[in-house]
Amino acid sequence: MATLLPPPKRAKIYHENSQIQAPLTPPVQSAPMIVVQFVSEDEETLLGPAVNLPADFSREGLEALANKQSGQEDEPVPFQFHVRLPESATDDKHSGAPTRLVVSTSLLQDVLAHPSKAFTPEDVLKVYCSPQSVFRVRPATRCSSTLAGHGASILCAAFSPTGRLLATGSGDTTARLWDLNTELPSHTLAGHKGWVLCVEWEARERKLATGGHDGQVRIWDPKSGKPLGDALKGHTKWITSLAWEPIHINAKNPRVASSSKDNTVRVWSTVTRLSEFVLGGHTASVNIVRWGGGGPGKNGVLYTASSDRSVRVWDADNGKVVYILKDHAHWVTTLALNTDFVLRTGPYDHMGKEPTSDEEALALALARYESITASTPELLISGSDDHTLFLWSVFGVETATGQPKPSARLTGHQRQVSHVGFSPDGRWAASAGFDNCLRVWDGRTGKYVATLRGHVAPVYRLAWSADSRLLVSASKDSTVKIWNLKTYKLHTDLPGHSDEVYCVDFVADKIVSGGRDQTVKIWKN
Amino acid sequence: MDICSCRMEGSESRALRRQKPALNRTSICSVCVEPVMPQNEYIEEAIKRHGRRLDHEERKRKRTAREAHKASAVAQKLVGIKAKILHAKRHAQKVQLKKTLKAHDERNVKQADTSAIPEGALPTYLLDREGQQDAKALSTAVKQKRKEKAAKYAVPLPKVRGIAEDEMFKVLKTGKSKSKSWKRMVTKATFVGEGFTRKPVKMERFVRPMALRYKRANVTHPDLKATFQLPIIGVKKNPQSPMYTQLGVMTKGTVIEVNVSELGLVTTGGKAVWGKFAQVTNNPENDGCINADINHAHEL
Repeated sequence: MATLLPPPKRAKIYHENSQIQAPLTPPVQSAPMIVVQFVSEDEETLLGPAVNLPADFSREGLEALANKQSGQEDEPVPFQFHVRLPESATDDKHSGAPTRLVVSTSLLQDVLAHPSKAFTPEDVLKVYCSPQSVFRVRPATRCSSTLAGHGASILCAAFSPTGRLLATGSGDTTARLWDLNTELPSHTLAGHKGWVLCVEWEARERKLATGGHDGQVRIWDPKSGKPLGDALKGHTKWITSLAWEPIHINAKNPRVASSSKDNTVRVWSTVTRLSEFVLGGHTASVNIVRWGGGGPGKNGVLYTASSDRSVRVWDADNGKVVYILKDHAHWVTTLALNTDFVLRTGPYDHMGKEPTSDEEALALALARYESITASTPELLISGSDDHTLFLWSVFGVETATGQPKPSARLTGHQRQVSHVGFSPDGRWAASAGFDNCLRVWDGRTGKYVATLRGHVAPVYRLAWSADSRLLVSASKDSTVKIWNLKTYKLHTDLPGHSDEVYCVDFVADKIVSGGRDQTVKIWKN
Repeated sequence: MDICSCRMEGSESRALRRQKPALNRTSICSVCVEPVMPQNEYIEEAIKRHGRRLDHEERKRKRTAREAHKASAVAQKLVGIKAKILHAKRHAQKVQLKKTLKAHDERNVKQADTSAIPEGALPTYLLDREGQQDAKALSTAVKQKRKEKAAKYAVPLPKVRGIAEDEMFKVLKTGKSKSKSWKRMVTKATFVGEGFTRKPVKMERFVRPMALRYKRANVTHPDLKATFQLPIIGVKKNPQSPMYTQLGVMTKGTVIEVNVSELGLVTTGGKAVWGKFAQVTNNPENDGCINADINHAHEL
């Protein structure tokens, strides 16, 4: 007698299915063993013998190993590890892709599993270690305050060397000082008769220089917000940039240099309030001036870049031309030194200790300057409207002709370069362009590292965090973006401005930005 | 006595004119009380040929010198409504005079120049690039407008002329003996999307003629005073009827969406803007082109 069996119970169906699916989970794979050779990035020397490791050995473990090999077990230093991709993997087909792989979790995940399949477990992996700063800057995620006050576009912003004060210059002919502890306005510096185009802090935070569209340079006391004397007059056209003499050369009364549209650069003494000398020689607008600490007698040199396609190097003692660098094919618009950060912050390191005397300030500043120039000489990057940048080691390499040659030509931008900046440790350089992207370069060799894409309009300015781990950029598309230098991707997008952002600055863990919408925004973690 | 052509008929008046041929420019015809205009340029002609009378300048100076006295005498004599009108007129003249004098005084006194600071401050790295086209002004102006809530619903053409169905459509006769009339032809400009295929003849109720189809519009930004030729993305709203919107009919006052990606605008969030609304300002079916204004009201 055939009777139909009732259908199985529901619960049972589920149970059966789960039993079928269980073996689908991947079996635990044992990580292959790989041979790893640690190489110091600075001198390209081996840290120690090659070691045999499981490939899923964590980054923290690698860090401990590297510290042990370099003999720094007692005071371990955080390292960034990367593996360089072979030339074949970065050919034309992959142009625009990063040239190195940064290890963020383990070698297995970041290097062996990379889609380019450039490495196999049989290779001896050369892992480059670059020491990083012992402190860490937290990336900003929110706008902590929006400060109104300026009556026109904000054209420039600069944090003071200690990060306690902020100065902004605006099209309403005033500069303003903001207190960053309370995030409130502190003083209004009125006096200019034209737009305030540039503001620059003396590296000991005792004075502030502003340059205007009226061709005047004014010096202010940031504590009281009062002008120190009348304007320094002499330029016939507007001021394009300002630079203070480094503290490690002159801690008492540093001089200030101003470059102008009228083709000259003037060096002013802030004591006598006179123009010490006029650097004439450029045949078109001087776009930027930088005061470096190098030079033949280490007495400081002035670097100027001009629309006449040349970069000139001047002796800061007597105002004579040392070199004329004529390799660019169009206006040279931006300059950066690998010592910019230490020159700008002078005696103040991340501990925030206040020097008690001029001598102490000089010694502190000199020590900081020499820590950067110990491994590499003072390097200069110039960016131009011919879409390229040149890396120069002006006083580092002797050439037969006596005229320095560029150490590298950095090509890749598809439009004019708007800004270039060295990371505070000098290991990286980043350039912003009118082609909506930023490019990261190796700060010592000038080799291309990666492209940071994400902006939808020209990128105007960029700024590095003090620990060299973050990069922030301001763009015409009204956003400020923070970039991750591990993945070379966008880290945080900071929208909020309602119009173009003209200036951005980064100090400690605060970012400030200002632009055409007349408000200053402070971004924090 | 001055007489114009109002009494030209009749030999008596002709004789009269022969005696006094030249009516002055300012004279008034005593018959019809109309200002008499001289016929042809014979006065100027005479001055050119013979010059003015020798004491012309002297007489003119004296007349202007006397004018104030004369005006005063008239003003003192007048009464009633005429006096009121005259005084109002002279008061206005006096105010104007005082204003002019004040303006002259100000011209002579040196003052702090506040207008010397030009608008539109730019950072140093953009100062030499002023010539580069900056469509960004567009979006700035848009944002300014957005702030003014009152302007939210102000469109360039607030009212549109109603268009009756028989003006919009032409009835097509179909069938073997042309006895059926269910088919319509649109007589206005239309926008037809990229991938549109016409229906079979039997099914197609509305025909949109190829000659009246448009793909691009001349879009003006009223604040920027610049016009760009931009591709049309779609017809957003035809105020006449939702059916016309569906058919893509563009008449005066229709809101269309245009592709502004080549202007390089961005939103506050930093995303590129590519579609924007514009209102048609002309009668495309008459002009053979579509003119439109960027429309802030439909921004949101």
